Amino acid sequence: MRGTTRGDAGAGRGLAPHWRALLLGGAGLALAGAMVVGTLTAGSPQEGAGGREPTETADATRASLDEDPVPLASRERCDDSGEGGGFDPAESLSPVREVGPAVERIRERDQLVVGIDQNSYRWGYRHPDDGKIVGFDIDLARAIAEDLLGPDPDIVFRAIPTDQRIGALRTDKVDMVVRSMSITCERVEQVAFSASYFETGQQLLVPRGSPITGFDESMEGQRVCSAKETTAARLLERESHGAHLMERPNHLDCLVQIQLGLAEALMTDSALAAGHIGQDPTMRLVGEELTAESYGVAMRSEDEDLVRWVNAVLASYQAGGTSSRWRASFDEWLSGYLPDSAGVPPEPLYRD
Amino acid sequence: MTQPPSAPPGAPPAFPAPRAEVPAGSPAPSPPVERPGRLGALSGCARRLRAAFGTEPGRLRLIGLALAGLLLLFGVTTYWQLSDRAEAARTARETSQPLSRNAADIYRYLADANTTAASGFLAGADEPRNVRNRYVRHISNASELLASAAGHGQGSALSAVLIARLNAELPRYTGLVETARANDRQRLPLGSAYLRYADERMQDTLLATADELYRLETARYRADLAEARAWPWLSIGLGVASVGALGWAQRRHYLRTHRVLNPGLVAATTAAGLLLLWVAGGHLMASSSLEEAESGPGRALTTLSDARTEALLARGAENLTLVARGGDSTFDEKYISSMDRLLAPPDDARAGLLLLALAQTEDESRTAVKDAIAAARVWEHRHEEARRFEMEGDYNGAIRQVIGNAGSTGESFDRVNNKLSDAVDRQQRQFLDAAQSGLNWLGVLPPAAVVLVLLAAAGTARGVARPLAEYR
Repeated sequence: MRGTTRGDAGAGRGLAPHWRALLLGGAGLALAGAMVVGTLTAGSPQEGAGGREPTETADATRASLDEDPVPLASRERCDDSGEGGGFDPAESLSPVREVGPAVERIRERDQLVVGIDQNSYRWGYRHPDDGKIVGFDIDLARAIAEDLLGPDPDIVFRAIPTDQRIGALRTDKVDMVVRSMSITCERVEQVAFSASYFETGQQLLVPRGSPITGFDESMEGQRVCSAKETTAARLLERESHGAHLMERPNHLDCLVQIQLGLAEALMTDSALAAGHIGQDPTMRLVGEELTAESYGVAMRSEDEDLVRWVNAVLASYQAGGTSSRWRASFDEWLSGYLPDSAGVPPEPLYRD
Repeated sequence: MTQPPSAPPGAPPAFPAPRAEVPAGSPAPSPPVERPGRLGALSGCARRLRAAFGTEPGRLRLIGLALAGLLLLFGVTTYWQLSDRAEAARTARETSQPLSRNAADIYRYLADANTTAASGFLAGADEPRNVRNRYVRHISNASELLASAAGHGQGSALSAVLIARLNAELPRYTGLVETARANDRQRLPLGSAYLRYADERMQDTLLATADELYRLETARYRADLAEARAWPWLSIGLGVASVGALGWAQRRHYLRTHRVLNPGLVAATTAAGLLLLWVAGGHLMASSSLEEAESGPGRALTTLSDARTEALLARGAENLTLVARGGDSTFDEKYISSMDRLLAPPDDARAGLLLLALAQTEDESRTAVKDAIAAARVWEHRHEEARRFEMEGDYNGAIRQVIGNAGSTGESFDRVNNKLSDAVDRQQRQFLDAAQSGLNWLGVLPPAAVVLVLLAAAGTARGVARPLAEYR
C-alpha cells in the first residue's frame, strides 16, 4: 500500500532530478560501479564477480579505465594470528534454517526487535505521509521477520544512533541491527554479522561545479566534512590532501553544511551518498571509491542459529537475479541514485 | 517649627558676611580660617588675620563665616550625594531593572521560539495554526525587544555589540527553520538535520549571546542598586561637623555673655540637626527598602526567571529528541539535566530552581510555584511514557504523547510555564512597589537639604550678627 502511493507521487516529481543527477555525475557514478566490481574481483578469489551481470558493468569499467588509472583500495583483511593471510570480515556462517535458542526466543516473544536508522533517506527513514519507516534496510528487516515469524509479523523498529549500534545489541535492546552497517574487523570481534547484503565504499560527494575532482590535491584548501567516528573521518585524518576537515554528528549534517556554503565536500560511503543525491540532485560523487566495504545484518555473537537463519533468508532474498526480491527493493529505493551496476546482490562468503 | 521659637524683634542687618566672599573651597571645620591668597600678599594677609583675631568682633565674624561655610558645604554635599543615590535608585527601578528583564525576555522568547519550532516540525504537515502563530509571535517579540534594547542601550558599548550580534543571527536562524520545514514537506530527512542545525545555532550563538546580554544588564542593575544603597559618609560627616561647630559656637557665646541662648544659633542647630537626622534616617529607610526589594522579590524574580528558562530548555530538548528520530541521544541527556536543575533529586544537597523559588516566595506566588512543581512532576512522568513509546518503536505514539493535547508533556510544560509567568508577574509588581518606597524616601531629601541648610545658614547669620551689633 505504501509502495503504490509513493510510486505514483515519485514518478511525476521525483524522477526527473534523479536522472539529471545521474547525467551530471555520470562519469563518477560509472567509476563507482567499476570500483565495486573491480574490488570484488580483486578481493575474493572464489568466483568474485561471477554472479554479476557482466555486460553493463564491464562497459562501465572499461569507460572509467580509459580515463583513470585505478589504484584501488583493497578490502580490509582481519588478522587472526596463526593462519596466514588473515580473513575477510565479510565471511559469515553458512546458511541453515535450524531453530536454536535465539530463534526460539524471538518466536516465543512473537516479535522481532530491529535496530534501524530513521534518518537515512532511501535506506531507513520515516515517510512523512504516514510516519511509517521505509527504505532498503527496512525491506530486508521485514523479509527476515516474515521468514522468522510468518506473514504480517510484529516488528519493533527501534531507532538507534550510529555510535550505539553495538551497545544496543550487547545490552539486548534489539535482536538485530539492520542499519547500513559496514562489516569491519573491529566490529566482527564484538558482534556477529550476516553475509554481505550490499557492497559499497567511501567516496567524495561534492556540489555541482565543485573544483574537487577526487581524493587528491584538488581538495587542497577546501573544507571537507565527515561524520564523527566513521571510516570516512579516519580516512581523512590519515590523508587530508591539504583540506580543512570538519566533523559533524551525522553525515546528513554534512549535507546541510554544504548547502549552506560552509563546506565544499563530504565523504561517506557511496550507498549513503545515494540518499544525499536523492535529497539534493545537484550533488555528485567524484573520484573513486577509497575502500571496499560490505553491509551486513549485525547480531549478537552468541546467536549463531539466528545468524545462520538470516543468511538463509538473505540467500533466498537475493536469489533470482533481476527478479529477486533484493532487486525489487533496490529498484524501489536506490535505482536512479546509484549506478545500475550497483543493482546486483553481492556474492555471499561463508567461512564454514 | 524650624524657625527659632523666640526671634528677637529688633531686626538685625540681614546677612552674615557683608565683606568677605563665602569661603567656597575651604574645608576648615572651625575657627582657623585661612585663605591663602597670592604668594606676595601672604604675609599681609596673615597680619590682617592676626589683627582680626585680636578683637572680638573680628573673631565673631570669622566664626560666623566658618559656620555658614560649613553649613553650605553640608547642604551642597547632601544635595549632591542624595540626588546621586535617588538617581541611581530611579535608574535601577525604571531603566536597568527593566533592561535586565528585557534581556531575560529576549532569551525566553528565543528559547520559546526554538522549542515551538521543534513542536511544529514534529507535527509536520499537521502543524496546528496556534503552534505556528506562537513561533511567529515569539520571533517578532524577540525582534521588537531587540530593537527597543538597541534604543535603550546607551552607554554600554558591549551591550550594543551583543544586540547587533543577536540582530544579525536571528534572521539566519529563522532561515534555517524555514529550510527545515520546506525539506520536511518534501519528505526529506534533511529537514530534521536542518532543524538540528538551527537548534545548534540557537543554543551556541543566539542563546549564548542573549545570556551574556542578560548578565551584563543584570550586573548594571545590581551596580545601580548598590550605588543607591551606598551610605552617604561625606554628607553625614559634614552634618556631624556642622552640628558640632554650632554647638561649640553656642557654648562659646554662652560662656562669654552669660546669656542662656542665642536664638539664631539655636535655630541653625535645630535645622542642621534635623537635616542630619533626616539624611541618616531617610537613607537608612530607603536603603532597607531597596535591600528588601532586591533580596525579596528581586531574588525570587531571578530564580523564577531561571526556572522558566530551564523549563523551556528542557522542553526544547524533549522535542529535539524526537526531531533527531533516535539519531542522537544527547538531546535526552540535555532534557534530563535541565529537569534535574528544576527539580533536583531529593537526595541532592543543592535544591532545584523550583524548590528554591518556593522558599523565596510567599502567598499567591508561592501557590503558583507549588502548582508549577506539581505540573513539572507530572511532566516528568509523562515524558517517561513518551520515551517508552519511542523505545517500543511507536514513534507516532511518542509524538502524540509529546505534542498532543490532553495528557501530553506539552500540556504539562504549558502549565509549568504559565504558573511560573504568573509568579514572575506578581514578584515583578512587588519588586517595583518596594523599590518605589525606597525611591520615595530618597526623592524628597535633596530639596529638603537645600531648604534646611539655607535656614541654618540664616540662623547662623542672625546669631552672629546680633552680638556683633552690640560692639558698634
